[in-house]
Amino acid sequence: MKNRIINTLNILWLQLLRQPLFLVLLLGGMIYEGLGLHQIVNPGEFMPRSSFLVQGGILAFLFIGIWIVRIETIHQLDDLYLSIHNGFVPRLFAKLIFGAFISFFVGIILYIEYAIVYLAEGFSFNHLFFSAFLYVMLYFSFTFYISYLLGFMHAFLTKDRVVYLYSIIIWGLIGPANFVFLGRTLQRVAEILNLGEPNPTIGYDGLYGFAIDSVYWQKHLLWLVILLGMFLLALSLRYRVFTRRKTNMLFISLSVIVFVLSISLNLERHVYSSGNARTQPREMVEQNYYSKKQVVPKQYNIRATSYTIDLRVKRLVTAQVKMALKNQEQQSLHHVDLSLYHGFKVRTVRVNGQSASFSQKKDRLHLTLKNKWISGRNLKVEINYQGLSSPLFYANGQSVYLPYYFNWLPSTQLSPSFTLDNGSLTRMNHQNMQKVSYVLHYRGRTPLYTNIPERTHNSWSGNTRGLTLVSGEVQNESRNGKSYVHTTNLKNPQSNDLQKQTMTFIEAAKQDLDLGHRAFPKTIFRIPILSISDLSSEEFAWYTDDTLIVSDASEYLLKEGLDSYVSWLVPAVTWKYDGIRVQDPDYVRAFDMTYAYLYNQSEHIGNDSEVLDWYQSVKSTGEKQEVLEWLSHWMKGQVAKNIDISVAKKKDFCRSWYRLMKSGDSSWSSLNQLLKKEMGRS
Amino acid sequence: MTTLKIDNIVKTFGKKRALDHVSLEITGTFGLLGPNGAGKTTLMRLIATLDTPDSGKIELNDLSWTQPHQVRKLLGYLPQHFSIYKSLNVCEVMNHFAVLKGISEKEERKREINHILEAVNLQDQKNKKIRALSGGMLRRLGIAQAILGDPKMVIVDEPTAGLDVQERVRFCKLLRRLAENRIIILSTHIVEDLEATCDHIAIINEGKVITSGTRRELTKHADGHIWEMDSPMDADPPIPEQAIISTVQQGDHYRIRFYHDTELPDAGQVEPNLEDAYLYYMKEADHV
Repeated sequence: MKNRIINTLNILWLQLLRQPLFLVLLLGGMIYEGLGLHQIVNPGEFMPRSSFLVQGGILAFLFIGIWIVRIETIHQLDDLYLSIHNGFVPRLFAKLIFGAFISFFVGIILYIEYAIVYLAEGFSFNHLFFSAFLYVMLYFSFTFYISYLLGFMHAFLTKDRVVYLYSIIIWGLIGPANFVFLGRTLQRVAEILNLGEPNPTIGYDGLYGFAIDSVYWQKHLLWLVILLGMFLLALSLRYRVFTRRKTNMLFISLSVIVFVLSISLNLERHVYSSGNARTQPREMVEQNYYSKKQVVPKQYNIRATSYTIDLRVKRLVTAQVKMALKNQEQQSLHHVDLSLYHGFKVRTVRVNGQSASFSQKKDRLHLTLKNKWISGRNLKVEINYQGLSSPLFYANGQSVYLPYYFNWLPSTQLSPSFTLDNGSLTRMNHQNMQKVSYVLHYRGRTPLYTNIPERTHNSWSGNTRGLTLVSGEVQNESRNGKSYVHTTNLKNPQSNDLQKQTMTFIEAAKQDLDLGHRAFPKTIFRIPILSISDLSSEEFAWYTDDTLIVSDASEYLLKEGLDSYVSWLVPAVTWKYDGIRVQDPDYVRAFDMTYAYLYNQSEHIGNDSEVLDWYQSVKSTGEKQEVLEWLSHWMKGQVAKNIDISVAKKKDFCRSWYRLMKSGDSSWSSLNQLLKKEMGRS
Repeated sequence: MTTLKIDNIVKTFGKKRALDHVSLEITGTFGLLGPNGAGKTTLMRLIATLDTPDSGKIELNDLSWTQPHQVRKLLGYLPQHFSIYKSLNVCEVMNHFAVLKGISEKEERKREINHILEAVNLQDQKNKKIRALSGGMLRRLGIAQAILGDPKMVIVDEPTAGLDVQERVRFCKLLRRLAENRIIILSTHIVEDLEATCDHIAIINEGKVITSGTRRELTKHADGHIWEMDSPMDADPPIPEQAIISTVQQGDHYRIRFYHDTELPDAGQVEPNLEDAYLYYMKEADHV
């Protein structure tokens, strides 16, 4: 059997090589890829945007599958091979293997071209290239093989030239561009049938990495099993190539595999879904959910003092969290409210070792206490929950992004996970205002990067204002006790530059705005944390004493985007850190805009010429309008000569402004008074 | 001597009965003669295990055709329309079939291929691409692959169709040479091919075996019924057209060969050949 298969493979390979069209197609594919590689400078970006290659390859392999059959149909060789003892079946297997072989071969060629180009460009050979290899195997080789099988089976079973027409139809249905052919109504069908990049209209996410989750491998495997199964059964019935016993065994085995895979594929899971080719892109899910405002219960003065977390992140997040809470109210409490992202369904709650009744509605977890909770006393709460994280916060086998400000742990900050402000989704800050003790046991994707030290294997502990977990297509650089976690698709991560710029900013801001204690964070995460519909500057960076999270995975931040980086740091290091909440988000945006502009001026960082147009673009009336207009004029220097327009003066104003915010006064009228005073207009 | 026994085979396709209670005993070189649509190819396909009869048995000594996987070990088959991959050469094709037929050892395979190519007179073309072969060469390649692995039985379906006279004669001689120690079953509608090749012949028409026997037995049946007479060129012959076997021009008149049950004036009785016998049988079958 082995010799027959190998010999047939050799014969098929010789025939393919002697087909000029095959070589032309292969060369054409490589040239087309080369053009794409030349245009797309980032190795992460290239793969999802190479859907055009996959689409073309699907058609080519459909036709190769047809050709493999047609070269025998033309010569009417079926009967001849059937008459040879053990002639038909090994040849058949050889053809099936041949398809896998050339699919793999073409995938390897395309991958080698990809790797050579980017390595020659100066990118490091890191984990990204391994992930890229898996991507090529899944969405090129495996997809091409399925296409080959479809063409092969069709031609084998019908032996009619209409198979070419059917192939065109199949090509339109199973490629990454199938949503174009199937339209909005059949978008779900398009998602199911698509064997290419699941998010073909969107760019690469540097943290999540390529969409090579196990579910996509299972989907391809299901296709393969179904196709092979149908084909072998049809063969057995038509050509009697297997005995009845073998046919029955084959049928049973395949049925079991299909059943198991089908169940697995229908399990609830959280995958990266983005762009207009998806039915529920991550940009829209929370937008729709949080469009209805959630009732926030009364915030009692209770404090979490410690967390012990047993966390498993695979298809689902499974957590057992033991919290110690302290009642800092003057009175006893009969219930406890906590905030927990609604995707995590609470199964059991125990209070002081006894089971407790609870209710969970949206992001609110309400615990009813059997005994009153006396003022000043501690409460031990154990909560078990399981579920899917928000599409905007990863937590699955592929990637983990559970930052301190997201209520993935039960939080005493009772705001929901998100809120909508003028149609714009805002992440609510669930940081603790004081340091809390955390002990973490974790099972999931590794390596895991976090802001508390690892003590033993898979076990971390430390004190912090909030626990951040990151894992995915990232790598770490450590220097002088500082950790810099960034995506693997950067040619030059510029860790030194980023640290220097950040340190300079923090020192300057501390002085300019009298911020008090601000340490340089031990861990900087430079990872994409937002979706394509997130545009607000205040979402781009998050800061605590030990953690800085910056939403960026590009080469441009410290070259052409430094002014933007500053505008992200301002809110992170100032009012977000201090937990200042305002009624009108434009209030803090005005502050961010003003101080960032001044800082850039004083550090000789070029400001965007249109940045000062923001003040006029905001819809405002009354005092707000007056403040914004005066700020605009003052920053532009378009004021009376007696008004001091120096940067130092403006920074003094910002200091006073921040003091006002910290005092709890975020009214436009108070700010207007302050502005008049500082400008000397009162 | 090995005998292939075909016992009461029936095969129907839809409403058409392709083989109607066919029974034969086949040894040596055996020819199946009959017009197009007689059932020859259907019978050949059944013997080649490419299809199964609706009823009846086929057996070779102790081996039954209900075990096709065992039967195929003994078979060589040259289908009616033999063609093969144009981009390969003769040696590559032969090597491929040799491996498929289980000749796994490289040196042994090489020897056998060379021996067979020598026997079919294709040794000089062994590196030639298939697309460069003539029709006759291609057919010889077909028989070459059929006898790879030294099969006990070779089934050759209409092997000379489309070949010119020279190629046909050459091919028939080749078959004769290859017939030593094996059964060769040859189906054709060209009588001369059987005369040169086969010891035993069966005539099939409309799915039934009209007769079977040696050449001598078949021709003997037509004894006394085959006549020849001369007829002027400008006059209609005095014989019904359906009774005429052949008309050959000889100088200024025709020599007409025909069958007739009784003596005719000016006609001389002649010894029947196989073609005469075949046509006579077919005529009888039509009248039944």
